[in-house]
Amino acid sequence: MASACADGANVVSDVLASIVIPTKNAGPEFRQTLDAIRRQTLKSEIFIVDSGSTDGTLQLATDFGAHITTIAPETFNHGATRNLGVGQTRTPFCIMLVQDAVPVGDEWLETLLSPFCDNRVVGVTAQQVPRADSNAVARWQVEYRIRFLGDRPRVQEDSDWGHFLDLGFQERLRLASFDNVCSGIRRSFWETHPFRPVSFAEDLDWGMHAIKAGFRLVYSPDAQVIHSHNRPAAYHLKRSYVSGRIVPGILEMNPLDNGVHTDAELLRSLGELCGEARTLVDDQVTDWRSFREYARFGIRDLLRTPIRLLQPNSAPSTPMRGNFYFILDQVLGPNEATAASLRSVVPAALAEAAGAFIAEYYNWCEANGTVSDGLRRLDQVLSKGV
Amino acid sequence: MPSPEQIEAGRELDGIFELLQVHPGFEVAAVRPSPFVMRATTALGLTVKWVLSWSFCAEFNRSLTLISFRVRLEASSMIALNLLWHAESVPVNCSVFVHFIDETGAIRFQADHPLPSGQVGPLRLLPSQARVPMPQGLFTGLCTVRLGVWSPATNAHFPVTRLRGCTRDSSHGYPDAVILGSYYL
Repeated sequence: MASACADGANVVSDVLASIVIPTKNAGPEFRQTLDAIRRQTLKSEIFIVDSGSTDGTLQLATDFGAHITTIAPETFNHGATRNLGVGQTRTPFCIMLVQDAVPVGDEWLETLLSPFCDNRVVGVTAQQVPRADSNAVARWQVEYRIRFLGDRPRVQEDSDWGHFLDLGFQERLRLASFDNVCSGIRRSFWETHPFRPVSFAEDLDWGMHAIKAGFRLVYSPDAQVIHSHNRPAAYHLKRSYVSGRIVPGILEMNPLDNGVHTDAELLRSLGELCGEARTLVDDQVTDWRSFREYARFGIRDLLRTPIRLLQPNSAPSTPMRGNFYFILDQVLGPNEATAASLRSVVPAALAEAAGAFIAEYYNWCEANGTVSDGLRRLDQVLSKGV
Repeated sequence: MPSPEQIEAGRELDGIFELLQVHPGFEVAAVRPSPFVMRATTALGLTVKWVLSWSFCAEFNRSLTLISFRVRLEASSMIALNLLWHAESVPVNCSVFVHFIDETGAIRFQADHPLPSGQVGPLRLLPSQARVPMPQGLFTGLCTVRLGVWSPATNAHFPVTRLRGCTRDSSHGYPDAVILGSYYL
């Protein structure tokens, strides 16, 4: 495999790949990741770029023979820090891994590298599977991604850029999808196309450049890592917002008009959905599907009913509200929910729906030069800490 | 007395609201369904169901009632099926099977479709539609339309629990389906 796939001039000894892991206080569970790497059928070298660990991460990495570079925490950047790690490697392929992703099986590395036998392939993304202790929302997020990307190996390429620009958001995302939770990159391509020093989605950005340059990416679900996060709802809000702000730009999408054109309209929609979420949590609601229908159905709607008797969906709705209930539906499944299971999902569902909606509105305002001071302040707060 | 998970969820929501309150205009609205409106709306929906089902209805599983249907052959050789249901609760993961059967009882084509649970209005009225191309040259003559409800998750048919103006299909091994009518195609 090594001789067949390696860019010969770069091969150092019999090591084909280097594994680059940015770390910060990775905790004792980091041992599982390092153990899994050590068990692989292919040899590799580990390169750690650490931004200020104080919990023994560095000692653990040293015990496993890793090359260690330390940086000041405030200089960490998703793109630049990974470039620093890759820059120290000498192998033809580099694996990007996060500190809490645990490779599955002994042939994970071999599986991840095998698509590089095709010289046009410059990047390979592994599949993530949820941790055993993941909550319902974290599990759904990982599984939703699997459904989105599929469960079969897939080559991503589009030699006609004009065709790419004709595609919708979802199709572009599927085509350029690349994820540094666990990915492989061809070092020779990285030398001319390093990660851009961006604070979010450096991987998708890199994937776009690869597709734009006419190369191939591969999604390889047979190479798996265990990785998921149980996040607080406030983090879901921030991450959904930042993703909504940045990802459409990376995919060269025009800002979406979600039907809300003033701060007052945004805040009214937000306030009402937050109120619905509050009632779902505070009251003993279990039949949330009926609640969805009645929540905003007031006496005026009742009086107007005879003239729109057969009109379905008479409760007012926005894409944000639709998204909120879509997530509840997806996470809770077809069976009736208990009050406890509903409460465990509502805050994160609200956060995901609201974050994406505010981001769409901000992008639209930005394109039209109508960003208010209040919206700018909200942007600053929601963009921090992701 | 709030439960621990209620307290935790409330804390999570407060964390979200705190972030949103950075915008000075943000305020959480009081959104709570009015019990009076809910009762009145339910009653209105039941009244509509009662009126419409005076001459025809097919109730499945005591929860889902077909109260109106229309089968129409369109100029483009498409068969359009428009159904109106009344649902006691929002149906989840339900599908309708519609068989167009010939005089021997064989299924010639179908217009199965899922029930769009997200479209149940407050009156509990749920329209569902399907359009299928009529297979050219495959079939002409008397065509009978058979309809039933099933759950793709469990692969189980919903039992027919009440009928008016239509008959149960007992002759072709579908006791949980009703015959809506026969048409010359």
